[in-house]
Amino acid sequence: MPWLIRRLAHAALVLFGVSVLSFAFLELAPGDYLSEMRLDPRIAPETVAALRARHGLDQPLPVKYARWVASAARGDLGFSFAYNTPAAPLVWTRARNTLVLTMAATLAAWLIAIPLGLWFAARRGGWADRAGAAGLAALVSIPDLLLALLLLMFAVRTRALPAGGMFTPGEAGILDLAAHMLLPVAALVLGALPVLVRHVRAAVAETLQAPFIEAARAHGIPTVRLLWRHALPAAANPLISLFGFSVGTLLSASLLVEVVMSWPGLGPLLVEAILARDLFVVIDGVLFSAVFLIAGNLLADVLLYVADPRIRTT
Amino acid sequence: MPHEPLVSVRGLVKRYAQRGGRHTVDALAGVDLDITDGSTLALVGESGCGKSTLALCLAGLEQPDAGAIRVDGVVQLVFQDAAGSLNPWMRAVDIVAEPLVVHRRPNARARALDLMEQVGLSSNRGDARPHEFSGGQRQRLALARALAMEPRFLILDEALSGLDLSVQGQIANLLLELQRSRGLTCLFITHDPALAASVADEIAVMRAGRIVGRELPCPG
Amino acid sequence: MWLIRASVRRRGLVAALALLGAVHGAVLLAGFLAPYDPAEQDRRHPYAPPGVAGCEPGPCPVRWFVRDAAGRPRLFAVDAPARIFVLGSDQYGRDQLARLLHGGRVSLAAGLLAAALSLGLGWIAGAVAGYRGGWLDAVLMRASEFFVALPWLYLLFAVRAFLPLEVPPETALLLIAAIIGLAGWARPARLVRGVVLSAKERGYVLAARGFGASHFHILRRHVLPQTVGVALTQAALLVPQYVLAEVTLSFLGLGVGEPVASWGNMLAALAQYHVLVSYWWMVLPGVAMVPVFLGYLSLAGAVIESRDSIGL
Repeated sequence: MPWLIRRLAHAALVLFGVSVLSFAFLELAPGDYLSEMRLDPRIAPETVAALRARHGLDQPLPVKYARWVASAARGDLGFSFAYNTPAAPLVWTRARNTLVLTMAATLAAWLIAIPLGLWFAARRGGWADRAGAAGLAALVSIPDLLLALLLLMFAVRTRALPAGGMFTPGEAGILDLAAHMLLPVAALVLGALPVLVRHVRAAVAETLQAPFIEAARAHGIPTVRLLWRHALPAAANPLISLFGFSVGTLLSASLLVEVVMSWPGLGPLLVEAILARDLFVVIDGVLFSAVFLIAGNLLADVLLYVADPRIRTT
Repeated sequence: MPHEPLVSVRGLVKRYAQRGGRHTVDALAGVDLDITDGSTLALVGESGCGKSTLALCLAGLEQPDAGAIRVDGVVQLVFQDAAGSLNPWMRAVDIVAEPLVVHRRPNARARALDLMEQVGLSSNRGDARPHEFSGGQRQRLALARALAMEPRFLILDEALSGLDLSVQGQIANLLLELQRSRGLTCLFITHDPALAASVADEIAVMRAGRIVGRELPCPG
Repeated sequence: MWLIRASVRRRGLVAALALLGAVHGAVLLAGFLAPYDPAEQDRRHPYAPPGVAGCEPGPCPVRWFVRDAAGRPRLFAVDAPARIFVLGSDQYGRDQLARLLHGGRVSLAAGLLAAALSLGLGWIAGAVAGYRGGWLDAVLMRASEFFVALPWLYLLFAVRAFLPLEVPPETALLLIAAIIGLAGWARPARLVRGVVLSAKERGYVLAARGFGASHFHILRRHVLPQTVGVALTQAALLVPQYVLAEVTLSFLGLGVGEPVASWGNMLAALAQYHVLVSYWWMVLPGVAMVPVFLGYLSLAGAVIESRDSIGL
């Protein structure tokens, strides 16, 4: 599998690039959590200086970077000044929550997009196709921030769904989690749906023109089977690439949706950390999102590799 | 009456990298060529034998890897694909005037309209765009543009290929006329020996990057 | 048949332009269309619902084309002490209509500036990479892959994270536009490069080199004009996306801050539960983005279709 090794090496290189770039930006940034702390008259300047020295903030950039890498290797991922703990447990929990949300949204979005896209493709030019196209065009014009706010408003006004958070305090059941997830997942799915459905429809519509489909139709294979067993697999390649892209888009959108719906994921953590200048947490947050993204793209590549024998030769 | 050759080429070599640069192909493998001032030399050969590469080198659009080229005066090149060599967004007169504009010559537009008349196009059509002209008229436009630079040496790379026979004849006549009136030296590149015989004073045969023979056209 | 299609297309284009003209015009005429100044507070009427507030004993007829106390022309007003809040008021009793229109200036300006920056950078980078080729092309395209692979909201956050937080609103606007614009150079660059790559292989470029045209001339005359279509489409797609970027950043407190209004910082009020429950009109700045999206996206669609239809 030299191909997979090459892809992994590339991914590692990108991660290295992101981390170095983050530190470089950090170096350029004016002030940090500690310099804001120094403005607080209740804290002695010596304390701040000691903290600065302890976490190596007074060191030059390469030393800082090396110390962070060493800390990451120990599993600490630096230190959160705002929470006064190692950053790792904080970031891990949040990353897990983001992953849960994004995976659920990706799954739901595709489960809706594929049948819809197939249906529209099968009825090209029909009323369903046209109504669908109009509906999706309207949906595209609603930015995801507004979508999330409107859904949240709907939830708090009707009290039909829990608005915000991940669990009702004192509960930890799977049903409770599902109820809390419904709203953010809906916001993410509605935001991603137009692009996905349009691509599924286009890809399937194209394969429906292919001679082998015509031949299958001539042999009397029923339409539903034709769509699911013949057209969809033939249209798989562009859709698998789109899958990697959709993971990235959903991750990006989830950042915002999490903040609006107070889902305890990386999004709110990142915003808090940016506002508090909690720099190691910022870097960890950025890196984790980069890892997710790369993983999404890698997954798409692997699926493509498995699905399409032609790629293996190159 | 012996003329000093207007164009003289010695030992011209041009290599192209192939397939990731591991192999090279000699498009020109040592070309020697003289063209007498005021004459038309036809260059015939199969496609891929290096004719077009030679044309590009002579026009200065490709740098040869070895050898020497000497041309007295301006060289201009007319391509086979007239439609492709004319910018579809530009008006005819602007296309013909472009070389003059680039070289900051005065009265570019008036001279361009005059050139159009010289190649047999009505100057009323100066504001038309290339797609409004027929294939033969487009080739005339390309010719007018080439003449704008007042070249002494004109290279026609398959310039009549892809045109109807009657149109070929008309443009061939136009070429002969222009050559006479302007004292042009021409290199007429074609894969069609009959066409070569009808326009040229002399024919050179090219094969695998070399000139393998020169002959006089047998009339008839 | 194609004639009908063409007129439908033309109609789509006209509708998109009309919508965009209306939105941008309204925002430019904010001072005239809104009856009050965006920063003018009225502590008597916090969170007043849309309508006339403080009208006792009434009646309070709406007067058209009036001059306010400072002598500035306004489209409409009611006589003091009553106040007209067409879109309600916020927690300080500021007129939502005035803030929406003035905030639109900020949000749209940020979007337009950022799009211009992205497009300018992308155009230059794409043209240079595509035309020149070689190592410069390789370096630029590697870098662009990196930028395209990162979702831009993360990118925005990452860059914003390392810039000063407390900045005056005008600086913040420029800063935000700069960040958004810089982060988005890659996609236009890649598209422009693609067009340039195919354009420079055209026969007329070779012909132009044949009569001694300079690279500058060839780029200006033969290559860059062909990228205009791609660039226009990209512009129409980028502007709404960048407006949303500004709104998002300001919503999160990372963009343009109070007291200057922007659609983003106006929406930030909805982070409070009671606002979300009780004052629906506070979501209107978000709704204002819909015509912006609709207009620019249909414009992009119309530009793409018209290019297809005339075979460019």
